[in-house]
Amino acid sequence: MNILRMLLDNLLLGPATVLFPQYPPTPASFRGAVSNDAGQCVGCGTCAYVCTSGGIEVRHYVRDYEWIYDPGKCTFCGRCVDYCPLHLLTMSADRPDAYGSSGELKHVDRLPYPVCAGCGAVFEPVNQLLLERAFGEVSSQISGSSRLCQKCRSELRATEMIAAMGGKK
Amino acid sequence: MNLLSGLLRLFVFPGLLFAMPCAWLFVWIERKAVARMQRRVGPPFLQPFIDFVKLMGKRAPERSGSEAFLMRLWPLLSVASMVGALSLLPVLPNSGGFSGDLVLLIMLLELPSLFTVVAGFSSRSLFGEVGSTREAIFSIGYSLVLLTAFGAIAMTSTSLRLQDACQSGGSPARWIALFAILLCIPAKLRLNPFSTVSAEQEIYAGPLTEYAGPELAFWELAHGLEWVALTGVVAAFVLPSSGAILSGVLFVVACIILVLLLSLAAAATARLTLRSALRFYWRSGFAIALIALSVATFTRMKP
Repeated sequence: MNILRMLLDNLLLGPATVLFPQYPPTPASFRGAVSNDAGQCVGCGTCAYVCTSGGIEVRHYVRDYEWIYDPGKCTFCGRCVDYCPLHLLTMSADRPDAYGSSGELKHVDRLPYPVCAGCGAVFEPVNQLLLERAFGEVSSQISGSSRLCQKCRSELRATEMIAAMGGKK
Repeated sequence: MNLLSGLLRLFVFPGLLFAMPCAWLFVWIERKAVARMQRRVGPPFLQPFIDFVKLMGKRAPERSGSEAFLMRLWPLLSVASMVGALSLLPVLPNSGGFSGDLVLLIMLLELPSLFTVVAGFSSRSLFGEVGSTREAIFSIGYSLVLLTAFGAIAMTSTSLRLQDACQSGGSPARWIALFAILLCIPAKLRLNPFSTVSAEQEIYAGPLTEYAGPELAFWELAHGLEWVALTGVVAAFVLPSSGAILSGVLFVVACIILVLLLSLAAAATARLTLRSALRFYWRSGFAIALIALSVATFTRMKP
């Protein structure tokens, strides 16, 4: 008679389903659409590399790069969130919106490469989180050289080394 | 019963004009009740009617030869037999009838099942043929119980006239027989746990797989009328005789209670296999009907 008890409870509780476009509430651990902290992203492409469904793409151009995410392709597996070295990706606890055509929900972050404080050339970004992971405590010297391109950084290091050895600055 | 009253009963009350809205109402109640018991929203109130209108507006697939004729004929005959069965029901007091109308009612109630069997074979669909075979086996299973139970009721009232059978008062044999008839209704309506005939996960729509458009609309209508006729038979036997309007209202209320009971049974059970269902009818169902017949016989033999 457990089934009758269950049916009575169901009757009293009311419908668990709702009419579209309403949705039932999602649990706190629900894996929804992925969002990126674009201000901190360095465009390493790890998320795109581990994405099994091709939902994330990172395109590099001369002066900027694009972080592209399509919830229509995403399987919401959460691998990109797990593998992001800087933990910048999060998954929304809400359901993604319904869509009528392919790519309708596509989200594109167009991010400029930083410009070298020394020569003005563009270079691949380095952010505070990455520096902390690499060096632990970030000194003002490391922080300053992170604003330089690789070529200017090499030149700066070389000059400092020559100076330390007593040579001409 | 003169011609005019006969036509009124056939086309107005309790025939087509009354039974069609009732059929859609009962189908909606069943679908809504089962949905609510499964925590679903269920269809809106007018859905069965909307389905009928929508199907009537669709074009049926073009067929040729006898197949085309037969596939149009079976649903119409099913509707006709159900309307005939409904017109015989003694819903109103002193509604007349004729000697032997109980036998005619039993035959008319059995006809849609027969038409469903031939409909499946007429469609030449593999799923239709499997569904028809199941329907044929099923009907052998429950018909034995149904006939024995109706026999017991006829025995208690010592008459084959429906009006007499309904007004003969409540004896234990009659209640047992009504219970046996109630057990057969889920199989006739293809409800759980006896929904093997239209097991959509296995054979799509069973005998009706190839039907579409107006043909399917009439099948759906016949199915709805079957709901009214079968619950109506039990309601007519259960209800006490009262005034004309009150009888009509009580009839609908009793039918709705039966629909809710059948919906509860459908929601609470899972589909049985053909073998288990047959075993149920030939052992438990037939035993109950036989007890009713025996009790009715002994009661009649008592001086």
